[in-house]
Amino acid sequence: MIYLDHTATMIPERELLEYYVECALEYPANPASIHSAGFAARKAQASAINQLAKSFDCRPEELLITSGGSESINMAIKGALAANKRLGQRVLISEGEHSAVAETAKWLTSHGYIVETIGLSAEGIIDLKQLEQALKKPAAMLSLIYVNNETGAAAPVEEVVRLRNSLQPDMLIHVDGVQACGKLSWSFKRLGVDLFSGSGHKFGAPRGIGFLIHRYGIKIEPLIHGGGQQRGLRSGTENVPLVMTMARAAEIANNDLAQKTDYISGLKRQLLDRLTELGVSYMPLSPVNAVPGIVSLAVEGLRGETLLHALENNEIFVSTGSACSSKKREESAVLRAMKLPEDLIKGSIRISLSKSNTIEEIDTVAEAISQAVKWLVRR
Amino acid sequence: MEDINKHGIDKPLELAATEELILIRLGEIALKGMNRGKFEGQLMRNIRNRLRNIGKFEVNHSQSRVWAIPLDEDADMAAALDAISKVFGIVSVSPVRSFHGDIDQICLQAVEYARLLLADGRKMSFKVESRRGDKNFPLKSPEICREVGAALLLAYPEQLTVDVNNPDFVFYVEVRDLNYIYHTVIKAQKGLPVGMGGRGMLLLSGGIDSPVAGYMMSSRGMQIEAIYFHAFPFTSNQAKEKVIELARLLTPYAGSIRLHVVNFTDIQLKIRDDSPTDMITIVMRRIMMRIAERLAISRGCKALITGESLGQVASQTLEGLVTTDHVVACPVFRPLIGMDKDDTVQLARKIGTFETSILPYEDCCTVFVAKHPKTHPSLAHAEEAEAALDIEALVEQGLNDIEVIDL
Repeated sequence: MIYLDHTATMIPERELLEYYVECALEYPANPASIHSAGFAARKAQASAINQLAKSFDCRPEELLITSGGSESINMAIKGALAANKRLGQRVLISEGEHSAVAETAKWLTSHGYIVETIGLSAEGIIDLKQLEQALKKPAAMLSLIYVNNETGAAAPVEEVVRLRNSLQPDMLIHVDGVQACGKLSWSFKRLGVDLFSGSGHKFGAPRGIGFLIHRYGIKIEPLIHGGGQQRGLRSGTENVPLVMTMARAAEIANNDLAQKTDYISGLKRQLLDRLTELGVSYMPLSPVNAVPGIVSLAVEGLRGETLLHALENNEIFVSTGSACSSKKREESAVLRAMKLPEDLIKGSIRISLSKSNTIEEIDTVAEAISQAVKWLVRR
Repeated sequence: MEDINKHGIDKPLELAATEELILIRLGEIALKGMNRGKFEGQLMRNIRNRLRNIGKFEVNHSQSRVWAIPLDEDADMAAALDAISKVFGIVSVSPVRSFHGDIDQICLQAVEYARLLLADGRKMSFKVESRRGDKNFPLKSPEICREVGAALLLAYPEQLTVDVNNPDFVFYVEVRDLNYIYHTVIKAQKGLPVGMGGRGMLLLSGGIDSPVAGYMMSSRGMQIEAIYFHAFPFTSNQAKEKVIELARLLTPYAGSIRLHVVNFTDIQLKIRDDSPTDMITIVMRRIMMRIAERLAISRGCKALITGESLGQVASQTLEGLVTTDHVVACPVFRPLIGMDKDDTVQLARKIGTFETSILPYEDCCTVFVAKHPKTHPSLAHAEEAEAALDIEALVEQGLNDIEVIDL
């Protein structure tokens, strides 16, 4: 199997899963229990959260553990708006948002909020001129995707924050950082945003865990009420070994990130060069500033889905558009927002690379694409 | 201690041993003349086949009724009822209780039977209907009704009331070789037993219509086989799995089905490359019909079945149908031809194929559709569009690359 769908989910390393089992056996107690086994679990969790805070460059008390990206995003948007009603009901999002944000925005609309959508530039990032225009009026929140899950385009978050600071300093900024973790180097402190959502399985942890960073002093209302865990903001018994595993995954993801990014850039170059050498006519859809691990491209004369199935026949696994929305079979809203022609949108496939892929695999993939083109594209 | 019930005329009546069985009422078959026996024989074989996976049952025929009698004590009667109610040729089925005895025994059994119905203390209205097949039975039907009704009212005065016009349940009593009591009549599919209407080859796609067309022909007693044209990777393997599942969903009605999956990819590529874009769909369908007919003949099928409905899509105009029919000699049955889509959907929901049909995998009809396909092709058009293709070779190619799946 050649797995090129790391953006959909990363395959956790065996050592990390073994680490989970170890932690689960060593800290079996409920961290809220007041006996010594509970205390041990509590201590282990606190240390894992400190470790995560270090990886993300935030304070431990700014960090909340959730069940994953969607929960974090829902909590960031609904929770912060509910707790900051004085900021009003105008909410801004970009056209490039993942459905976790876009659908939450729809929910907001049905609950009295006014959601405005800012378009994308041809590079697939938020149109800063449009944003500047929109910031002439007060808004409660801007929710922005950091690294786009379909194209890999990385948003100029610092610039957006600068705009906010000068035009609407009260407005909250939530960053959907789900695809940024493990793909680029970021620091919560330096970004200057108020809320940051992330998901463990996108950077090597198992599924079922994510995090939300909320800047110190920013109020949020809980989505889930109950036993009052995590400062009353997110009830539910904490999964200590899973928190420990995510902390370990974040640490591993951050290690030698620059070097890994270089390696993945090399894989991407190799893929595109090989395709050109083999005479495959394709159009890269990922913009120049995209993270190298997400390569969106369209092969001339071939639908993305057809190519996906042809590759699957060779045990090569890629995606069309975003895996989460593929089931709905709608065409990519992000590519449409980039004003790409219909044929390219229908033809788009997403190849996502990671450090676990090899040059040999990339050569095999390029060869398989070339074979599929020879077989299936009109002569 | 001496058993006082052994003597004395006032001995309280004891419940006789009972048997639970399934009463199967025949439909159209009952109208048949000389060949009625053949239809009944086929129907009983079909019922036996369907019950084979559920448990041991004896299926027999007496007094213009068919009976399914469980031979295991723990036979799954609910599953058996469900299976039998899907066999074509049956109007309705009832789970019944049988026993020997006189009118007193019938009343006693009725009271016992009703105990379960009224178990949670609910109040219900009822009426009794009876049939007297055994003309030697001392009471006539209206008298049986009266006796049984009175016994039930006496036993459950707080819970039961009589309502002859709109009762909550009807209590049925039939007096034949044995006595039978029941209160449920489950509607079945009617139609004729599969196997009595010849064999047909169903062109099965992944859509809503073709499984319904198969169901309808099957309901007229036709034994069906199915053919599916698979164009991987233009259509995914999930699309093929979906078609297999659709065929499987038809088997409770149609009996076992042989599904032929034709590898259609290279044929489709040649059609795409060597015929005009706006005629691709028509040419493709003409080639599919040719392959289907040749396969049908080799499998002893005398007709093709499609789910086409007039005017539904561009290729299903009258001209479109004429051009596709022209390439085959056998009859093409299109049971949905005059049906509204809503009614087809309703039927698909009833037979249980709808949810599978709407799974979002493309079938090969939709992959190469031109933006503006020809809606009114003439025969000359179609023949001209095929001029550059070696039709015979393509048909041969299709027939030589078939995967057979028995369901």
